[in-house]
Parts: sequence; C-alpha cells; structure tokens
Amino acid sequence: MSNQAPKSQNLPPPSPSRPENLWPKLAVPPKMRTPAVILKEQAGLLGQMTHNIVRAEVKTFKSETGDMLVYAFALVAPALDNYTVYLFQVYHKPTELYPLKIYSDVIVSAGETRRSWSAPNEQEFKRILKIIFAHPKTSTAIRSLMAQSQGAPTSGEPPSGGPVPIQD
Amino acid sequence: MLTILFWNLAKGNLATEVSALVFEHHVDILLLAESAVPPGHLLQLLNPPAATRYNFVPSRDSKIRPSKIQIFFGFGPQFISSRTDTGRATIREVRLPGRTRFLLCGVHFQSRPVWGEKDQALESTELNRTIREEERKAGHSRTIVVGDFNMNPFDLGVTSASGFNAVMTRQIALQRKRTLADRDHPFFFNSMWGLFGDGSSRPGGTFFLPSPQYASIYWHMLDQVLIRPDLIPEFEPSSLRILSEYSGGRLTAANGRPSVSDHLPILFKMNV
Repeated sequence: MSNQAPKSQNLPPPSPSRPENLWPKLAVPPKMRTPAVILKEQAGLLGQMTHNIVRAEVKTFKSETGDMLVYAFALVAPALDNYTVYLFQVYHKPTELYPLKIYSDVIVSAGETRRSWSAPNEQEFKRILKIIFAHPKTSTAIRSLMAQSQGAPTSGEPPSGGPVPIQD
Repeated sequence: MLTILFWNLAKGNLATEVSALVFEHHVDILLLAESAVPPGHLLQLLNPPAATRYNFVPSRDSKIRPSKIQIFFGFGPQFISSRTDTGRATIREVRLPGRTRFLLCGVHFQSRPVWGEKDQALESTELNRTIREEERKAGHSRTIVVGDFNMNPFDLGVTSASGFNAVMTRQIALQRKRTLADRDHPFFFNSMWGLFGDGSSRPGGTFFLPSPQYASIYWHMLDQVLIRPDLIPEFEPSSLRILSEYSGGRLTAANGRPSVSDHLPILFKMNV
C-alpha cells in the first residue's frame, strides 16, 4: 500500500454536519490475494489429493519480535496421532504483503540446517511454493505419512482371533 | 440435520461395508469401535477424487491412551474439538457454523466377562462425573452419548441415578433431573427402548447372545444413543434405526442374527 496521496481526490465537500474527509481512496484491489489465502488454498488442495489422509494446515502467529506475521505451513497425519511436520514458515510485515521471506528446516541440502527464500511479489512467491512442493523431501514426507496412515495400528489393541461370546 | 452412525466392527475388515453405509445414509459423523481398518484406508474409500469430505479426527489425548473410538467427521476438523478421552470414552464438542453446538461422547464400555454389572455401574458413575464436568466447562448440557455400552438399557450402570440415569421416555427425561439423597442427577433419554422386540421386520436388538442359564433374552441392546433433555426436541425418533443391510448386501444371516460383525450398526439424525 502506498503512503503517497493520489493525484486526484474526489472528496465530498465539507459540511457542518459531516467532518471533512482527509483520507485518500483506500479501495483494496479486488484481485489482491494475501500470502495466507494462497497458502490456505494450497493446503486444501493437498487434502483433496491425499483423500485427507495427509492434510496441510496453515497456522498463524506473530514473530517473537512482534513485528512480523508468520504463517507456518504444516503437514498433518491425523491417523498418526496428528503427527505434524512443519514444512516452512512465511514471514511478512503486517503492513506489507511483499516482500516476504520463506524459511524451511526441512527443504535443505546436505550440511544446511535452514534454507531461506525471498519473494518480492505474488508471482515469485508462487514459484517458490512450487519448488518447495516439488522437492523430493516434501514428496517423500507425504508418501511416507500416507503409507503409515493406511497401515497404522488403530485402536488400542491388535486384532484378536476368533469370535468370543461377548466382545471387548 | 446431522446423520450419525455408530458401529462396533468387532475387529473385522469392514471398510467396504462402512463406506457403503456412509454414502447410502449420507452420514455426517461416523463413530467406530473395535476397528481394525487403518484410518488412512477408510479415508481413501470415504473421500473419492473431487469429493473429499471426511476427516479422521483423533483424540487430543490419544498419544497417552489410544482411544477405543474412532471418529470420522464430514466437516472441517476445526469444527470438532477434543475435550477429554479416557480411552473407553471420548468427549468432543461439535461447533458447526450457524448451528447449535453440542457435546458428543463416544463410548466403548468394558465387557461383562471382564467387569461385572457392579463394576460397570461404578465406571458409569465415574464417566458421568466426567460428562457433567465437561458440560459445566462447556456451559451447556446439550450432550449425546453413543456407543457400545456393553450393558442393556435396563442394566444398573445405565439406569442408576449416579450412572447415566437414562430413562425410557422423553416425557420423564424432559423433567430434566431426579433428586436423590439431596443430590440432583440429570436425565438422559435412552432412545433405544423403543427398538426392543420382535424382529420380524427388524432386528430385536443390536447384539445376539443366547444364554445357557435359566433367563435368556437372546437379543441385547448393547449399542445405544442417550440424549440430554436439551437436545430431545432436536432428536428425530423415527430416524433411529438398527441397520441390518447395506447397499452391497445384508449385515445379518438368514436367521436375522448379526453376521458381518457381532454388533449391528445404529443410525440416527439430530436437527443440530
């Protein structure tokens, strides 16, 4: 959002009953989609692709310093006691959607503990998301969670053999 | 209107039967006991491509004590929250947008060979203390208890004032409570009483067990739905059914007794 006043301001004339409006027009562009919306859309799509066996969740919080919004993108396997893998985090200032920073402790190369990307706009943000989603570590994690969810032991006890008069 | 289905699968591989029942009856909340079907496998059947709806919603406490009740929820997981889980009972709060929120308690009680009637009754007292505490925390008593009680509706744990205090008519339940020894005991309405009996057109209960002793009632109603007075107006009595068939075939043998699992599923609708 720009801090500069627009060149033409069609402000209503001041009247005794209404205060003079000193604000410029503040219409939000109708097609503006926040990083959070983009992340939530992608989270929903993962659930559709995995039959909700592995879901993605976007958790929102403030940074420790309080000056950034943080969106954590997590893979969740409900059938594995809600086992959760935090794939990456997105940081941006509350007053500016872009540029944003992306950090991941999962999508790393050998010797790295954390990887970061910077996105100056929505287009670049989506390009980076594609890279992260297509990364072998992401697909391996999803496949592994799905396989275990489809074969995981379920309720407390293993199946027993043979019918009993009154069941457990 | 919410459609709720409960079934004790007796550890059988009944994923096909379960998913068929869910689709056939447009089930919104599915509760399973003794399921040996991996949740991921059932989700694959319940959520065909382009129609992803159901979520497996484990209990918050399941890491500590694996819950004996599995819940599959036909809405986003954010609309059902875990309140408490004792392993044998899981209490959730369902908060769907624009609808009445309520507590849903799924139970799978200890069986009679393991615990006698007195033990079951004492455990009922403990569980009901927990239910009342959760109702107090939630600020309402709109509670449904459903599951395999391993007791009949006339057994001590179900009828006792300090247990479920579940009565057979809505008229009595709507009196809300019974005062005994200067203590108030809130009622549940036990909707299953009306389904006892001859099964020429329907099963006589949810579980069949003849006894070698003098007294034998043959059919037992171990699987039950109990409803607090505040939710009775929202209960559709005609919707309550013991299911003996599904779109793929029968759940009973030719003699009418359960054949796929040793229990038959129960289905009901709530206007919540």
